[in-house]
Amino acid sequence: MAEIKFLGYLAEVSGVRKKELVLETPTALKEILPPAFPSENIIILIDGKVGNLDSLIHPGQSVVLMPVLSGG
Amino acid sequence: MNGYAGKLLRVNLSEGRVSKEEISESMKRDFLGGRGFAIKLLWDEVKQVDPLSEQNKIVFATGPLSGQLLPSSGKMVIASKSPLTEGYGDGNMGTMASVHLKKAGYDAVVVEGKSERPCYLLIEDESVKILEASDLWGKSSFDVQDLLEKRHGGNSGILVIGPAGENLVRISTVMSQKGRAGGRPGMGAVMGSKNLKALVIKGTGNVSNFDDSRVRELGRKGYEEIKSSGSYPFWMKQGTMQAFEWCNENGCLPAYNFREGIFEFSREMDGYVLEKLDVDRKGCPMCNMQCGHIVHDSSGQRAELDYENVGMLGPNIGIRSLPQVATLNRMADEWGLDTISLGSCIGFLMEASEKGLIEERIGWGDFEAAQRLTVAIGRDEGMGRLLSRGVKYASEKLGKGSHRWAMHVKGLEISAYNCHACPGMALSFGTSPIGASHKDAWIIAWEISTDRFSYNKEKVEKLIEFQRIRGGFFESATVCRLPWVEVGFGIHWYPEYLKAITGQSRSWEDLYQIGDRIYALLRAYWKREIPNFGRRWDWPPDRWFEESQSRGKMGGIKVDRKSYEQMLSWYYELRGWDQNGVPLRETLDRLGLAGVSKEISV
Repeated sequence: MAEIKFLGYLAEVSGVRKKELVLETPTALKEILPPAFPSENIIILIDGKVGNLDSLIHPGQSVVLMPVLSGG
Repeated sequence: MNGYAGKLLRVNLSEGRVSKEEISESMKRDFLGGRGFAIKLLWDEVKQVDPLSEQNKIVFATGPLSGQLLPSSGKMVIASKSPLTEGYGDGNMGTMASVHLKKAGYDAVVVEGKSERPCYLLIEDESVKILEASDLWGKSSFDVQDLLEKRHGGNSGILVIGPAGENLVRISTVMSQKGRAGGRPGMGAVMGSKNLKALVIKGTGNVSNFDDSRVRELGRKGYEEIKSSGSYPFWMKQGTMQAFEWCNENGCLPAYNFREGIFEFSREMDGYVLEKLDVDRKGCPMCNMQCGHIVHDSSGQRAELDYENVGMLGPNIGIRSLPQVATLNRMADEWGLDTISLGSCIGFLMEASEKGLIEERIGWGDFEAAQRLTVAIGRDEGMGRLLSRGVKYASEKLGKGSHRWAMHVKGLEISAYNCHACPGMALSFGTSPIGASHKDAWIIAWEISTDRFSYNKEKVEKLIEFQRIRGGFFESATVCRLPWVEVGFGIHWYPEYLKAITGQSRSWEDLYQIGDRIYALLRAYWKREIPNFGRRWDWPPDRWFEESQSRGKMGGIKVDRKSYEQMLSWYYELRGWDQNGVPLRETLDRLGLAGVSKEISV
C-alpha cells in the first residue's frame, strides 16, 4: 500500500485529495498518475524527500504532490 | 516618458497649500514608480523626524503599469517613515484610487504637515480641495467609504483610515473599498497624525501610452493566458486560501503564536470549507483572478477572507471557525487595523496569559476575548495600550523573556508563515525592507522543492532574485505579485508591457538594477533613521532558533543560528553591503547613489 496526497488544483486534476494504492512492485510515479497530470511547476515529496515523476514508488511510501505557490 | 501622468501632487496640510511638480525623467528611469518613488522622496525629504509629527510625510505612489489594461495592475504603494518600526514603511493596495489617480493626472501624492482639524482631500483632475472631515472622524472605514461614495459618487477611488489610525495605533493601515488594506507598518497612524481621514480621487483623463494598440493586444493576451492556466479554476475557488492546506501539510502554518506549524483543526477551516461558505468574491481593479472571498461572519455580516487573515486570526490564536475569523477580520477592517499584526498581538497576549505573565486569563481560541482585544487595540485603551504599538513594544514592556516569542522582525509582525523548518524564508523575513513581510520574497515553495533544510548560497541567490522581481519590480511597477506563480503568468510579459507603455526597452537585467538601487536606498534609510541599525535588525525571533514544533513531520526541527548567520553574511556580500547590512560606498556609487554615502558615513 502507498498513499498519495494531492494538494491544490492537483486534487482536481486527479479527482481526489488522497488515495491509497496497492503496489505489488515499485512503480514509477508517472505511471500511477492520470495521463494529463502536469509535469511542471509541481513539487513532489516522497516520504518527505524531493522526488520526480520517474521516481519509483515503493509499497508503504507516502507521496505528496503539490503546486508551487507564492504565498498570500 | 510615456505611461506616466507626469506629475506629483503635493499637499501641505499645515499651510493648506497645494502644488504640482513635474516628475523628472531620471526619477522615472532610475526608480520606476511605486516603492521606488516613495523611497526616493522619503530619502530626500524625511530625515530623522518623529513619524507621528507633522514633519513626516506620506506618499501614495503608482507606477507605469498601474491601472493599465493589464492583468492585476490596479495597485498603488503607500509609504512613510513608520511609527511602528521607526524605519521605512510601506504597503501596496489594490484600489480604484490607483486607477483614478493616474486618470486625474498624477503618478503620486505627497501629503505633508498637519491639518488643525480633521480633513479629507478631494482630488478631481486639476481641482484639489482640503475639506472638513469632523463629521467623518471617529467613524469606521466602512461607514466613511459609504458616506464619501454617496457624497462624491461611486465612480471614485477612496482611501480612508478607521478609528485606529485616528487613535495613532501603530498597527493601523489605510483602507479602501471595505476590505482592501495596505500599509502594515502604521500608515494609518501617519494619516491620523495629520488629521487626514481620507482621500477621494476622481480622474477623467487618460495617460498617454507609447503604443496603445500594442498595450491592448498584450492586455488581451495576458488576461487570456491567465484564464487558460490549468490552476486558474481552482484559484477562483480558493484563491490564497489554498495555502492553508499547503502550509499545514508542510508544517509552516502559524499556530499558537508560531509555536506550532500544523493546526489540529485545519480540516475545519481550510480552503474547502471556505468554498462551502463562499457567497461572493472581491478583487482589485484590472484583476481577473480575484482573491478576496466573501462569507457571512458569525454575526451574519458580509466579511472578506484570505489566507493571511485566516492564518493569523485563526490558528495563530487558536480559533477554529472561519465565520469567527471573518468577524475578527471585518472588525479589523472597520477599525483600520492590520489583520496580520492584530493576530500576532492577540497570540502574544494569549501566550503571556498561558505562561502566567499577566493577570488576565485569556485562553487560546477565546473568541469573545479576541473581539474585546480588537476593540481595545483600536481604541488604544486598557490592555490595548500594551498591544497597539506591536509585539516588539509589548515584549519590552512585559519583559520576563517575552522578547523570545514576540514574533516580529524590525518591529513589524511576521506574516502567516512559520519558519522553524524554513531557514530560507526566515532569512526572507529577516531581510525584508519593511520588517517581517512576505511580499518581497516568498521562497518556501522553492525551498521545499530543492533542499529544504540546507543553508547554501544558492538559496540566498534565489532569495535575492525573488526580492528583485517582487520587492523591486512588482512593488514599483506597480502590479500584483500573485499572477506570476499562482497561475503561471509569464514573467516575460512585463518588459513587453513596459516597452508598449513607456516606449523604453528594459531587460530584466535593467529591472534588477533598479530593484537593487531601491533596496540599497531602503537600507540606507534604515541606517540614517536608526543610527545603531545593524546586523541584529535582520534576525528573526529567538523562537525559531531555540524551540522546535512539538508535533508533525517538522517536529524537533529549528533554525540553526550559526548557519543562519552564514546565509546572512552571503546575503550582504551578494548585495554589496557590509557585514552590518549597510551598503558599501562602491555599491552606492555603482547604483548611482553617490550622494547617499555621506549621510550614512560609509
